[in-house]
Amino acid sequence: MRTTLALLALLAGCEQVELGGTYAYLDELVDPTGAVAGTDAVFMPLPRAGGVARLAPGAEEATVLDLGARRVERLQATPTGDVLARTVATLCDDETVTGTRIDDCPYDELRRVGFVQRLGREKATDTWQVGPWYGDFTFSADGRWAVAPIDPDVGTTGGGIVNLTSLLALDLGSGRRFEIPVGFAADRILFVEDEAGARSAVVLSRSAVAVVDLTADLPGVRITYPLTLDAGSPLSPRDVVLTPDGGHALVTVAGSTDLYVLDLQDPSINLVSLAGTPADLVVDPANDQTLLVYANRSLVEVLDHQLFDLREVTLARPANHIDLGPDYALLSQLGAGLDLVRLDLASLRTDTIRLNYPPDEVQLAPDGAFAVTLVRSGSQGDNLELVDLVLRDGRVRTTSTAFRLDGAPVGLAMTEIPDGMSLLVLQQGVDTLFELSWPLLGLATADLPGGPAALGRVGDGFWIAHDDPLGLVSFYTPGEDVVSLAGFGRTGLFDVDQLFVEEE
Amino acid sequence: MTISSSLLLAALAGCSSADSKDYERGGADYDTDVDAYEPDDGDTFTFDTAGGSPPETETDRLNLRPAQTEAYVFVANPERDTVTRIHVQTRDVRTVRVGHLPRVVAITPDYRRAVVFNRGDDSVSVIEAEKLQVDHVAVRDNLTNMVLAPGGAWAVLWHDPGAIRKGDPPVPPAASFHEVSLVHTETLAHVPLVVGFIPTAVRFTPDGRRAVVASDAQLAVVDLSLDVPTLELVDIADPLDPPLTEEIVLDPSGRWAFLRQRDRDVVAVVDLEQEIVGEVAVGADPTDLDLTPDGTRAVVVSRGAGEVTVLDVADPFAPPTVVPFPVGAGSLGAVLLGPDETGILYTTATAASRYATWDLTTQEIIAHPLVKPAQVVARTPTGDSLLVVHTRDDAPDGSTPVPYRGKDAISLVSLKDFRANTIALQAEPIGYANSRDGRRGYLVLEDTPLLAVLDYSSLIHTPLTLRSNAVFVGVLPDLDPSDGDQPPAWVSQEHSLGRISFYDPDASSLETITGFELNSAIEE
Repeated sequence: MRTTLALLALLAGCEQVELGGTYAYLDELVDPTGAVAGTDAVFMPLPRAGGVARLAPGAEEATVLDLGARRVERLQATPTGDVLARTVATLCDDETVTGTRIDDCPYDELRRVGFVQRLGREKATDTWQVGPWYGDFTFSADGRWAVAPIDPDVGTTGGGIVNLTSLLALDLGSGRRFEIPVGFAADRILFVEDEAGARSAVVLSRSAVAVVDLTADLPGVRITYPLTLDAGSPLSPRDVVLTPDGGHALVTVAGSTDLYVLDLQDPSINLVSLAGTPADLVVDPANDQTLLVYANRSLVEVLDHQLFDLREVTLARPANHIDLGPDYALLSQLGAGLDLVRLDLASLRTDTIRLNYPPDEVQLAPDGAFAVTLVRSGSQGDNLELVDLVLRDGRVRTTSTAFRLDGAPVGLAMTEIPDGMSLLVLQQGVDTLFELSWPLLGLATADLPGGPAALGRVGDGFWIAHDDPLGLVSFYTPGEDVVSLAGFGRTGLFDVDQLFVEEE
Repeated sequence: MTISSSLLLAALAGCSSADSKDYERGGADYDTDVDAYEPDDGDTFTFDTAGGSPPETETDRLNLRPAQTEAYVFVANPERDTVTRIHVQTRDVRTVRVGHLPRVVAITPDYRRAVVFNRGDDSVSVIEAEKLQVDHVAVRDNLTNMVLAPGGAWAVLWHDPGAIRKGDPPVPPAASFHEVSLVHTETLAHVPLVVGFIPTAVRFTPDGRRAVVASDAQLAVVDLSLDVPTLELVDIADPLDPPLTEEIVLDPSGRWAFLRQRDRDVVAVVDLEQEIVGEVAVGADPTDLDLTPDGTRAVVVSRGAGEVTVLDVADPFAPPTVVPFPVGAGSLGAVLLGPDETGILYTTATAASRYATWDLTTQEIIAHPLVKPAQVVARTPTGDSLLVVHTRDDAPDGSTPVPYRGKDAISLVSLKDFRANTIALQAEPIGYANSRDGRRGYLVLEDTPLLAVLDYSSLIHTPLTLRSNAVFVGVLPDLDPSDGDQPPAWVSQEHSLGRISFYDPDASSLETITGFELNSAIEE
């Protein structure tokens, strides 16, 4: 009966259905924007059921993973294609309770515990119990280490005391877990890696930068660099990059014009005075230098990594974003400016391209031949511009090719084709996949079963998550038909939240 | 940057003012200076005889000489109670904690130790320069200054009125003003001694075996060759009414001490071995006393009489040679003696816009004009050039050219052909340093982010912009003149976390280290 009611509600276009005295909102059945792709499948959270659906190209149906009585909060993919789920479970501390449902346990006897689970084809292959107060992971490039700081927005202490200076480090290779005190309000993590893998993690926290040695049997803080000697005036580090040789960390601080140059091998600190508070910085490995731009200064500074001297290149207008191409940097002012500046990294010569619309996002083609700018719901609608960045007779074209879109761009991907590059463009509320070719600017389309919500790569093709309350994912390989999997959001629609029982 | 590879140390007091303070006593103001015997030493005596002629300021208050040179610069950070060691070539920075309020940093001549006087807790920190191992030695209360004996075995600390600074700890409830502390920099032994009443200067024999602590009525001769130094007091004046000792020099043998005393037209000559005090009459109003670089003659400038008196150190009581100033030379009250048997006579006490050259061989004195009156005159170590820091006030006779009126200025003067380049400045100079080869000088100005590089050959200056206001400047000696490389200069600047720049004159490059005080808080 309840199933019939639910279906009738759906047919009637209702967004809410009553289930056994409670209400389930249909937009809680699937979370298309929370989907991540692993090596060969897409994983999508099922918030209402608390589970995860695994969707593989070519599969006839989705697989809902068995995670026990745990509920998925979010998913993250490692650089090597593993997918980690942050899950929580609810325990009852009242041993006299014999029921299996959360409702059977007095409220003040309920306790949440957190987990990290590595997802396999049908279930979790590895599970670690971790506090639910940790934030998102940062992964080393080899996918071995996953490190997470405290999430300042998580209020739960699990009924205990949480060390707010703690950092969670998971060795996904050995399966070991560590909690390391690094400093208060840690929020940015960078790995120092060589051919053997990640050797240390550089962690930014309030007024300090800690270097965690990951090679020790018991990883711990090897060095702590202070950012100030005045405890009464704490500083918040904002961004960090590493020089290509891994010998120095360059740290910017909120509201400060100082760049902290931390020598990681021979511990010392040097401050470099910048022209302002950087809006963006990018390391140029080929020329062993770092580029910095400022939202309110019409210049880009170039910092060499030998003497840490600055050179200044004047711009016509400020830039707040840098994208690094093969031999140039593309400077833009997201959300505000119409200039794209191509900065030659060797000569520091600039070429300015004038856009038609101030971009919200800029993407460079993998080969650097062109850039795509996207405007979402600007004053003149949703737009896309293609900018040719190839030098011809030593110069670039100073104008772009603009396209008007019917909906806000929700996904953009590029793939190589025999004659150049193909852009896949998805627009909100538009049930069509647009494929724009570069440089010929040919246009092809493919019908989609629904409005797109997200786009990503999986295997040799792409996945598209749609705005469908019962779940809908399409797979597309250029030159082939779109294939979809649907309805997996029904899972757990009528399940009741279960108590978690810890294994002996 | 090409730097000589020898490993030496340079030291400076990083954060105290370059200005010498005046100590007022009995209506008189005077500065005191301490140094080992050194040719062409700059004394820093200033006095004001009430109702008498104005004092000369033969001062190197602007000249900060590093104790040693090459590889390292040591900077005291009084606000952090730390000392930072910076390797000039590699920019390696290391910071160690010392006592409270480090005030003076000195380096032993073997470059192995940095000795720090901590004004705030009456202690000395001895730092092993390579490994930065620090040892602390408590010394007597209420001491204000420190100097190392030649050889570096002993550090001598005493209450120097001229070294009192704003922010110094208050005088303790029970305080003596005529105690000294001797600290052995290797054994860390501490030997307290009582010397004459309110010592004004400390001098050493060149071999470092003896120190002479001068007071108005007595000289305390300290034998530093003993494991536990002893002293003998030599009376030099009536203890009930001694004249103020304003200047003292020791001859190289350490036998004779020559003193210039206030309101006395004589030079007191003390035989330190026989403990006999004699006097040699000089011209009226003696204003400067120096030894020639070879140590064979003592020279007294008598501004009032308009003459110089030359004593033979080997026979001080023999009739001296008196050289009158030529007519028109004007008022001259101080002398800088060069290595080439020449001297520069000048005055900083009167608004006279001139100086004079003096040939000690022919005794010829020739006057030369300056654009403005001088407040500091410095001669390069080779003796070929002068750096004159002028007063902001103009010559009262209206002779100051219009472009320099009412402005600070310096002049670079060639002593070969007496060409001069006068440079108007927007602020008062607060420090300078000259390279030992006489080719370069470096100048910094008050509240100005500028380093002026002075070329004494061309007399042309090059301004370099710093990132913040300069505080101190120094130049490392050239340990290998044959390699053709010029030694770098350094300039410390204002910054809450420490800033210092290094200038390579060969590459004309300026490299800056900022935030080195943070290094003291790096935890490993």
